[in-house]
Amino acid sequence: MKVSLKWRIGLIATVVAASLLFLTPTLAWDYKEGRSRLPEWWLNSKILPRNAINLGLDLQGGMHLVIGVNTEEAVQNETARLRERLEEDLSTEKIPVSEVKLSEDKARIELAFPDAASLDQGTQYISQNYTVLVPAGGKGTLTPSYTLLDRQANVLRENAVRQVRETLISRVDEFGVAEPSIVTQGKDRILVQLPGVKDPDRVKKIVQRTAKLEFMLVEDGAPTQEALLGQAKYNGQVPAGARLIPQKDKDGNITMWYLLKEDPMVSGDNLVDARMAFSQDVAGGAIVTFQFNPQGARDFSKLTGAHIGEPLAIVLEGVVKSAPVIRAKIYDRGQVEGNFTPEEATDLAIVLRAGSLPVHIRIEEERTIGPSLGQDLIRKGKVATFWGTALVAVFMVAYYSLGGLVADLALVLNLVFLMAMLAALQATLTLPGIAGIALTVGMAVDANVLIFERMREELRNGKTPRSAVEAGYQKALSAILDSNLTTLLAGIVLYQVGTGPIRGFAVTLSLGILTTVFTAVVCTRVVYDLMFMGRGRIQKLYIGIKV
Amino acid sequence: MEFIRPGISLNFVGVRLYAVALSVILVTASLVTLEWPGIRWGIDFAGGTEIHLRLDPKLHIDQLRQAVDELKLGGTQVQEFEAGTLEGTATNEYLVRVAAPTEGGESAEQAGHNAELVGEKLKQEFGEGSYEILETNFVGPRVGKDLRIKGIEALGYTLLGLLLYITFRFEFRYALGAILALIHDAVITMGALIVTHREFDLSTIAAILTILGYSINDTIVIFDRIREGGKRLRRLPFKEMINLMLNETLSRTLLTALTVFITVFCLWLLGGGVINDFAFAMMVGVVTGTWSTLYVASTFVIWWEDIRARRRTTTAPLKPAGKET
Repeated sequence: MKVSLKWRIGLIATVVAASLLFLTPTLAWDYKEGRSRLPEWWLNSKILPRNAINLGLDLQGGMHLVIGVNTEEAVQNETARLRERLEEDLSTEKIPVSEVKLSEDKARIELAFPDAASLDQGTQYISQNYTVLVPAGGKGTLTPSYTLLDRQANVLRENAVRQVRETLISRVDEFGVAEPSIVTQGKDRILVQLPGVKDPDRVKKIVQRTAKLEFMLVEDGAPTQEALLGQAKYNGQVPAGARLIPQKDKDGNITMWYLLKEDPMVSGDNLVDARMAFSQDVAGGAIVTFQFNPQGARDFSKLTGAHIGEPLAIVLEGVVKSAPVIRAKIYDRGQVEGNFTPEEATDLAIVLRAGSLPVHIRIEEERTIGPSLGQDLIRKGKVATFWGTALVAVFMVAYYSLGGLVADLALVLNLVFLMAMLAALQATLTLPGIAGIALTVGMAVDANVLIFERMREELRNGKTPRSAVEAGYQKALSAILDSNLTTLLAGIVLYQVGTGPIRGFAVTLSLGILTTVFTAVVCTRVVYDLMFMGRGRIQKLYIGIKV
Repeated sequence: MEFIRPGISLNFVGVRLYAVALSVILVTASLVTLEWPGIRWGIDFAGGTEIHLRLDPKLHIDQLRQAVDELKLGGTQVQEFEAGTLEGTATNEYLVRVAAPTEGGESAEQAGHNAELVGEKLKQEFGEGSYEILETNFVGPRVGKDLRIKGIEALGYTLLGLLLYITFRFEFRYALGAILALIHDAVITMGALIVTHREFDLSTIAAILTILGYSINDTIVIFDRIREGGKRLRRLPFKEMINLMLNETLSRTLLTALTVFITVFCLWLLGGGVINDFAFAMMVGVVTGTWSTLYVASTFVIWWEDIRARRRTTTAPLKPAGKET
């Protein structure tokens, strides 16, 4: 018994020391300045903890975005690409086919064969050469349709999400946000958390841009759509192999319509750099200059060399920015003009550098919290927790006298351990998390109440103080474990379900249960064991009743 | 100090029918409030846009209202911001709300920009520096729906998990009694939230889950005693044994309820904003949780035992009541 007591004291001392160590960076953290006040040697050491408790976005201010990725678009794009290739291949193989078209929802390739012989030939060719396509209907008829293999489609969807995430990471990095967190959530969502962002609207714009930059040859142009397509040669239809794209002025009004040659000759995917610059020739002054990688430079020089004297449209996100005439062969540099303000040009340069998004995205949830609100909430949370703790502590002493004091000691240790665990695990403290801490205080004393009530009973039944303590701890244990385990269960479910702030609550509630069991059962027991030792041992149990 | 004298003998079991009647009335009333006036879904579940802002004291809420109305966003609402129990409504702080668009519609695309539109309008109308946007929240229809499903799932899984746990630790009939007590607590808490015009959002789910965790806690301590008492006091009739156990644990039941109540009361009074709603739900939950522990859970176990006993007298010889494993 004595040895085990020594071990227990050793354990508690170790836990207390470790807790204080883990709490030091938090105590020395200057939350206003956002930096540590610890000395250099501490920060440079490899072993000592450096991280203060993480504050959630709701407490430190910042931006929380849930971005939905249109993963179907990736599948549709691939299906469209395959359709094109298939049409070409069928014609090179001289397999007669009357139609190879995309279904309305762009999910299937629909074919039409003139006769049974070509149908056989065609389906056989496809099953041999297009293993990613599976029959999707029209089996046995002359109009079979094909769709992408499920496995393949899933790979494309996953890739789309991964690419979007990578692009967002580099955009946010380029913009310069401290400690961003950008993680995938579920199948088609990305959670972006940006603490301390000052200009949320601007970040949102940068995040959302597709930043698709294309260079396309101009076939024709006119101020209105009617004037352009009304010409006799078009007969009101956009000709095959061309795309109708507008040019807009600063206020978003369409000033010009262009017919551009469909497949873009060169795209922004081949950029290595993009910068904001000033140019005297341009209204507004700001432009974005860019530089191609070797592949892009090769394509670009080929394009510009072959079409000197023709206009080349620079298309950004589906809008013509400018359509200058190619004056000479250009190799690896170029610029985008378009009535930019310096800020717009800077942001455009950021998104061009970071790359384009492969598919469209949409903001599905947005929460922006200003910094002043968080400080107010922290202050209120602290005040409420302080008074809650103080009142409970006073009540415990009033009710259980010396026993209450022991329980209060456990309560203080509990708070220290809980905060230390938050720091050590780098969990995030949120506003509901503070409520969780306060609640832990209220529920933590329950374990000691259970023990003390048992002790009182045992004393009333005439047991000696020593055996009353023994019995109190022993008999209360199963109730303490049971009741805490069930609360832990609720906490874990909450962690699984909750996002952001609510998760913070689940974390403090669950960790609080662990620290509660430790402090209320192990720590207080040691105090009682010590009381019954040595010459100064107590003859009476002071737990608020006369026996 | 002692609140509850040793040897106290309150007749919980004797008045159980009146207590249960009161519970049934409260639960029924709460269920009625679910339909009428109905749950006010907060932004987390309903979706939409919410802008919390502070205005220059010289400006009046009507001016803000007018400016927002001019945007014609459809379903906008301007109200004073409720800062907590002590503060009431915060001075010069307001909430602008824009209702959620329907899923998939064109307005869904645009809804993400509602906060920006309001911001631009304020700048244009009142000038920079005369307002401060403290917080904006936008929840799209898809996310709102997902959160709703997740919230219901969370409650379901928690109840199921607790049912399994108690069945494993005790017996199925105890588990059923405990779960019944939990549903009782959750429903009454929801009713109290509706009656006090509070909104349901994610923190409400958190509060209800915590109440479940707390209430089951209480119930388990008593079940633990009943199990122990069943072994110790075999001679005593089942009902009397349960009543004795309820009395023996009464002191602990009330003390713990009191300490938890003290902390959530402090949170309610001082915590402000989001915490205020959460703490209110907890206060209700602590009271109903204690009540349901004393009356609902044990009454169910007694009722179950009665039925079993009745069946036994007709089919098999009488065994000692309250016999446990």
